[in-house]
Amino acid sequence: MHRSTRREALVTLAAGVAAGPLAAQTGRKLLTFSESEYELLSVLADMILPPTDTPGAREAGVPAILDEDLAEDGERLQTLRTGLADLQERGFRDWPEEGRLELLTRFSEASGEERDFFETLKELTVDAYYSTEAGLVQELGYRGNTYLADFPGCTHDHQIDGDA
Amino acid sequence: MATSDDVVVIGSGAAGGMAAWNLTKNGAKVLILEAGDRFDPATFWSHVKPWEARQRRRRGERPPGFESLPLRESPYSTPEGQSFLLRRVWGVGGKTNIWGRVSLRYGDLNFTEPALDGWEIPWPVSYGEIAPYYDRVERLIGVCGGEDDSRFLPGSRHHLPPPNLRCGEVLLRKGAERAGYAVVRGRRAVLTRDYNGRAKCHHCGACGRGCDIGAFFNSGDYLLKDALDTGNLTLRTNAIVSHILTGDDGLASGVRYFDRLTGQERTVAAKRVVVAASTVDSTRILLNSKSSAHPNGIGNGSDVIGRYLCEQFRFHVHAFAPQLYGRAASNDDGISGGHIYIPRFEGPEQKRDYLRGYGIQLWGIGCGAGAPYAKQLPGFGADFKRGVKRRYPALIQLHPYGEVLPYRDNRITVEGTPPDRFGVPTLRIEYQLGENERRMLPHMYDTVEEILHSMRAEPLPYRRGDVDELGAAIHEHGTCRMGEDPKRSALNAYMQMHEVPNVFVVDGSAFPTPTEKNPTLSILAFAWRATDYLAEQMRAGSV
Repeated sequence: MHRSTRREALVTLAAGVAAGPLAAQTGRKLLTFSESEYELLSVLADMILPPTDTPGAREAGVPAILDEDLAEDGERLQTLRTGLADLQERGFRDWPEEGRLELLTRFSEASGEERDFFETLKELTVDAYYSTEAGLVQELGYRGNTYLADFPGCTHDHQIDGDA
Repeated sequence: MATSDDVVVIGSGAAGGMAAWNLTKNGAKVLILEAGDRFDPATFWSHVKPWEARQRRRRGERPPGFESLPLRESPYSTPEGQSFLLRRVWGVGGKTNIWGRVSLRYGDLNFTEPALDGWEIPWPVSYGEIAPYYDRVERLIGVCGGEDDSRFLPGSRHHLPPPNLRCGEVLLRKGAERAGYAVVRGRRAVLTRDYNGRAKCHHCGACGRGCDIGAFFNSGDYLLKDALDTGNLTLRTNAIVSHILTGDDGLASGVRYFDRLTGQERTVAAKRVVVAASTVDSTRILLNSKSSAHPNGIGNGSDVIGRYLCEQFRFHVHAFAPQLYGRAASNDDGISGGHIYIPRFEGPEQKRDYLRGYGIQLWGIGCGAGAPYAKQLPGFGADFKRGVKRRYPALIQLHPYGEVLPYRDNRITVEGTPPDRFGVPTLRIEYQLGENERRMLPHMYDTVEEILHSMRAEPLPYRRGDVDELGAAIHEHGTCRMGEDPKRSALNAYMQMHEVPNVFVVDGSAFPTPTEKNPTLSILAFAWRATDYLAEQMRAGSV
């Protein structure tokens, strides 16, 4: 059981990794976003959680997850869509990285609509990313929800003021 | 209408399961009417990881909808400006399929103080009377826990070994003890070793999705299976009870229900009725059971049924133990939920400007199946991503539960409510906190902050004074309370209706106060005791 679960997981991982680019490149039907919205969303998601020694949001399949999940989430979709349209109008995709960073930083410190857009984008990206195998297992090291005959618990000697 | 059943039991959760188990063991023929369907453990998503769950959903698969049925079949309403989170499971085993498994004995203090402080009526049972039933229940279902014993939380000689503490819990315990609070092992109805022919918990941490091997107590696996084995139990599913019928003598004569699948109205004759549909649905049935003998609902000449709704109010504080920042991730699932607990405590006398008290569940949640805290951390980008990972092993939670006093106007009614699809009036729940809770709440926050401070924890943003949505503890009580005085209570000490001796109400609605503790262990103990009495009365020919 354990072994087959792991094999399944690997297959799933491969699918998850491919999901982002596939959606754009192979014309997998988008449910919620337009092709250009989707591309911009992918850029932004990767700015929130970029690739490091582990996959970033795009590679983890976050844009595809949001495309699926937001189909039935009118309020957050509207917030996201308004913000995406605003950025498209400004030609955000053609900006140099420095300018993009500056703008997103300003949004994160702003109030009103820009802040709402940033917070919604971040919340959606983060929650989706840490539910993928890339985010949970590769990045965070999650090892739970498995068969564990004995639970060892804490095997250290943690002290409030620093370990002994 | 003819039946050969000795007893009709309404509901199959902890209370109904125990009633059926004990009565069938005593040789009685029992019919259970259960509003929902059977749940099949083979269909539980116990070992489905988040990314696998997404794949399954893409294919159109869904896990069992434990809570979807009652909202669809029997919605409830609240007055404008109020809210009450009513969580119900219709289906064999009821809420025991997904319960939190916390199993705390009520103590002498819980039973005696209502008589002393006047809120609202005395319990008709003492700790000494119920203690032997706690012993029996713990031996039957298996409860893990420590060796502690205090006037706030009586000990037990029957506990299975407690689970080891997670890293965050080691620090939580040290912090709480440094702040002067006694910390005990959590007590939960989880098998930490093979027990009574059942396999022990394998620490998959997904109890809320149902346990596919029955390693925690649930009515279906632990009670109904045995009851069915006696050959004395008939379990009728998809039977939504609407009324208890009465004869000219005012006694219960039958039960009316609707077949959920065909919509057909049916009636079954009943010599004795045991009501165990959980506090709120039992109350709906009792209040809707009006007749010339019982114009105010069956057994409700006292007008107490539906009133005095009470449970616990609570809040949650999430924090990090910085001592654990940056450590390698570990499997922190354990038996899911907290492994330690702060029982109610004395507190300095001069600070006590409120009645009753609160206990605190402590959970060193650690490396869970997600990073729900991440969106609350500032910033974005690679540094942000590193910060999320650094904090991942360090997440802890504190969950205080405070006792809400029973207030006459916190109540369930059915008058003037919209009918369900069978034409039966639905529930209306009016429920607000009172002055005592407003006084207790700052103390609950003080305690939490003292512990956080003592352990040098870094809390996620919270607002002092916030409380969880009312009802969220899912521990409703009080609306069909037992007591000595028939003018102020609906049931006697054996959960038998004062006014209708062949009706027993054995679920949480019978408890006159909620205490600060989780109730299922006590519901099992009281239902066992009540049905011992019923079986005795049946043998004597008096019910």
